[in-house]
Amino acid sequence: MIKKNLKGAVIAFIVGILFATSTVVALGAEASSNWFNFGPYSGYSYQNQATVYSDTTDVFAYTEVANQNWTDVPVGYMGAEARLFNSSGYLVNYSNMSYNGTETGALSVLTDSSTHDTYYSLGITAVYNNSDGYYYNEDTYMSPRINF
Amino acid sequence: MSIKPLGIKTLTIGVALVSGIVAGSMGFGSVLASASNNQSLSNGNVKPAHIYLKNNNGETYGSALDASSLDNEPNLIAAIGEDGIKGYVRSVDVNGVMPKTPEEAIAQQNKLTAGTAVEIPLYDVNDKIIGSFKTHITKGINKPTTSINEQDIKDARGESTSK
Repeated sequence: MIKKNLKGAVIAFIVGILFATSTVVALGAEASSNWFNFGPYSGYSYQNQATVYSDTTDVFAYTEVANQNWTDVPVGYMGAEARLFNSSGYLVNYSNMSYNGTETGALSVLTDSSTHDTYYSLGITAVYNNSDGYYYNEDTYMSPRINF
Repeated sequence: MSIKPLGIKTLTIGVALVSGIVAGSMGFGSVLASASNNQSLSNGNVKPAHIYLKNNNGETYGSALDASSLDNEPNLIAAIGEDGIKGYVRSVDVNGVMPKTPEEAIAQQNKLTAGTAVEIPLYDVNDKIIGSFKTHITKGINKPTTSINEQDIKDARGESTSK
């Protein structure tokens, strides 16, 4: 009787694990870097972050740049480029550099979707400094890897 | 009062099932967490400038993941092109030209159409073209990543108008 119960328990335990992991994959998974704080430029302090996202059909990289207090900055002051790398460090996909087309507190840019592999995301952001009239680039931290 | 054998069996299986679900969820979370713990080592802003190898033409080459900043990126970035061919893309082809003013940035951006295919050459380590690297123009989304929905992603990729 005990042996029979143990067998049933083991099967139920495995079914539980499979259910939990498959649910996570179906809902999608993402891995984000820590925020990197920088500035101030033009009186604004910024933060940026790289994210790699996957669900059952899609994997892509995000880069986000934002005003640290989330209030709006002028048009064209923030730019971001997203990049997706595989586990060997090869560039797999990238986006063009995009700038905030409206006054906003945050800008997100994503890449095209890619195929099955293990990926990292690392983005580049650009912010405008009106005191010297230049854009300054800041890399994001690298995201944790994600398997797709 | 005694518990019937069927009750014990049901209880045991129930506990095991719930334990499995919890273990599965925690297992997945810990994978992300352990990966997350390593990321501070990958900070492009604090790690020392990577010394890249140079090709026959004196150009640096390697993975852009090793660069400490955009300025430290190699001239030739390791990339996987069409048909899975491994090679290099030029940094200048990937990054384009930095605008000088916000007005110029927006003017440059307005010339781009989301979803348009972009193709740049893929080189071997000594600048011989061996293939191509394709991607598509995406538009920025003026909101935080956490607020983005499916429609935003379609708009950014120019997919809204084609469906």
